[in-house]
Amino acid sequence: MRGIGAIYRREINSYFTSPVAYVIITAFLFIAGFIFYNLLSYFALQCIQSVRYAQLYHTVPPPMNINTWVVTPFMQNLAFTFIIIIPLLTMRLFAEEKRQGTMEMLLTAPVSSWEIILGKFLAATTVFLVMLALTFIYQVMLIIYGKPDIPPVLGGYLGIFLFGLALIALGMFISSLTKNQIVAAFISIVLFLFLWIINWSSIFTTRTAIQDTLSYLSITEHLREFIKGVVDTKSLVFFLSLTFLGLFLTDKSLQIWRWKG
Amino acid sequence: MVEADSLVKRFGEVIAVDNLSFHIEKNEVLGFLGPNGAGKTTTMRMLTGYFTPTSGEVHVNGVDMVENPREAKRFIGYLPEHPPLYPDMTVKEYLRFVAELHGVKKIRERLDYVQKVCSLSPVWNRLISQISKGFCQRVGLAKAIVHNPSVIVLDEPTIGLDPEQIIETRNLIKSLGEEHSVILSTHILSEANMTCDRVMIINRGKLVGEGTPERLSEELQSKRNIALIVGREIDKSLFSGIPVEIQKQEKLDDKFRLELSFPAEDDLCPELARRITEAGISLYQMQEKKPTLEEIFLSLVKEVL
Ligand SMILES: Nc1ncnc2c1ncn2[C@@H]1O[C@H](COP(=O)(O)OP(=O)(O)OP(=O)(O)O)[C@@H](O)[C@H]1O
Ligand SMILES: [Mg+2]
Repeated sequence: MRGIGAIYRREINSYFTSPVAYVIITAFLFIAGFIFYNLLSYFALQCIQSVRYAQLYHTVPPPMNINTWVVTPFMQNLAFTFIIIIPLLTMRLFAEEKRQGTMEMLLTAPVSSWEIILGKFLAATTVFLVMLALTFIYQVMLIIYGKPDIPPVLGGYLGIFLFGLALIALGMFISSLTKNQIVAAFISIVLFLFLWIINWSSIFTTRTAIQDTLSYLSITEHLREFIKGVVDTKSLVFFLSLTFLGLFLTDKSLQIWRWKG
Repeated sequence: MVEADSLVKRFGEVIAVDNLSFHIEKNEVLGFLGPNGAGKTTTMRMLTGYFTPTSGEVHVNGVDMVENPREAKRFIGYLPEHPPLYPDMTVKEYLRFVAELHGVKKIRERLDYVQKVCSLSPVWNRLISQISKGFCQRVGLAKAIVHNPSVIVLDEPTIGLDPEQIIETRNLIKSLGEEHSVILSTHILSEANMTCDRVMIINRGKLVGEGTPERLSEELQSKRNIALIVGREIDKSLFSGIPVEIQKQEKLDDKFRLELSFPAEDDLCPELARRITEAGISLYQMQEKKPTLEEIFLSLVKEVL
């Protein structure tokens, strides 16, 4: 426990004493804001057009749903943005320790590898949560000025949070495989993109077993459930297992490091 | 304090450490001596729990390093070959972090202590990325002792230091050796000679010699060398019948300096003195010439090669 705290504080300091965290957070907020602004403008345009259309043909304008037009696509785009952003947070976690030689001090300190892993994991998760929380401001604006359905907003955020945990754990594992941060980031992005699109090829097969497996492995499918406002245990378990898998593999990777150097 | 039992470390085909057993007593300074690639660093990495041995065991204060690493590591302070420093931290932040990792209670006191004994005041609040190599080495040393460990493991502690610092560091190591057990590795033989109570000479992962620096010189030298200063030139015939060889003879103003050697088994010194004085030659000085650790080291390492 002592180790988790010390390592957590060091990681947080190192994120925030360098400009890197600020650059990443700013870039992220810019992109998230851009997505949100465009979705909202498009929604507004659609609303105006449907009212005009109704006036022209003397009909009642069709109901416009802010959830379908703004909330759902925003959540999906936000999750996609994290596929690029999270590797930037996790790439240095172990790769940098290996490059600097500080791994030798961490692994000879009287702390278990779990304390090291959890300290780092929680630090990256904190930065991720800061980013996620900042985008929540947009949702608050929607709630004040519009009438979105609340469960999908909350479900979507829960889903993205769990999704983020899984990516952080996997990204950390990949970082523990190399001394090179850039390589770690690149491999992580490729892996996450692959998990994002893995179910695309299910349309080429009619074998339901394969289709089921692919869609079970697809993070998009699980995220979709949450964004609908449904907290499905299957999806919850999926993200948590993926997170645990990442942490477990990181531990194995440290053990191998002790063997091979 | 530390028991290492038949340590072996393989890296694929390479056997870096080959069946090494040793122990360190309380308040002892043990030196690992060996050429590049001898396996000193690898041995230390197994002692400190960084590397898992391929086979063999390490016990620190009776605690098994592989079975119970978290407990065993508490007793150890380690300065690796390359000081493991975070460039984005200040010296003070870094040492505080190390102290926290080790669960030090009175952090303030210990930080003040290492700041003093490692002369870190000039760089105390500087970023590690901005301090010189020698100061990095001193921060590394501070890192190894900040939690007041009972065993201190130092991999080439004086590398990169200026001469004044080298002397200070050696003195520090000596004084640490009064209350702690210290293991250090070095290429500098005179350093081992000066700081260590006991030396282990390692070559190609194997132990090739062990003992106090003095005993090593005695035991491992098959010949004894004696330097004499005498009144006039001596001819070989004077030593007929005894296995003495004249290595060197030179004139010093009005006297002569002579270097003799004979097998270490029999002590021929009294016989030599008798023959010289009986021949009417005045004997001014007779001195045993101890081989330096350098010479022993080279002869040991050569034997193995
Ligand atoms: N991680 C590793 N992978 C493969 N081989 C290694 C590894 N670490 C050390 N070795 C090999 O093990 C042998 C011993 O190396 P080690 O670093 O222990 O020597 P050393 O005595 O510390 O040398 P030096 O005086 O140069 O520091 C060398 O042949 C080295 O190449
Ligand atoms: Mg070495």
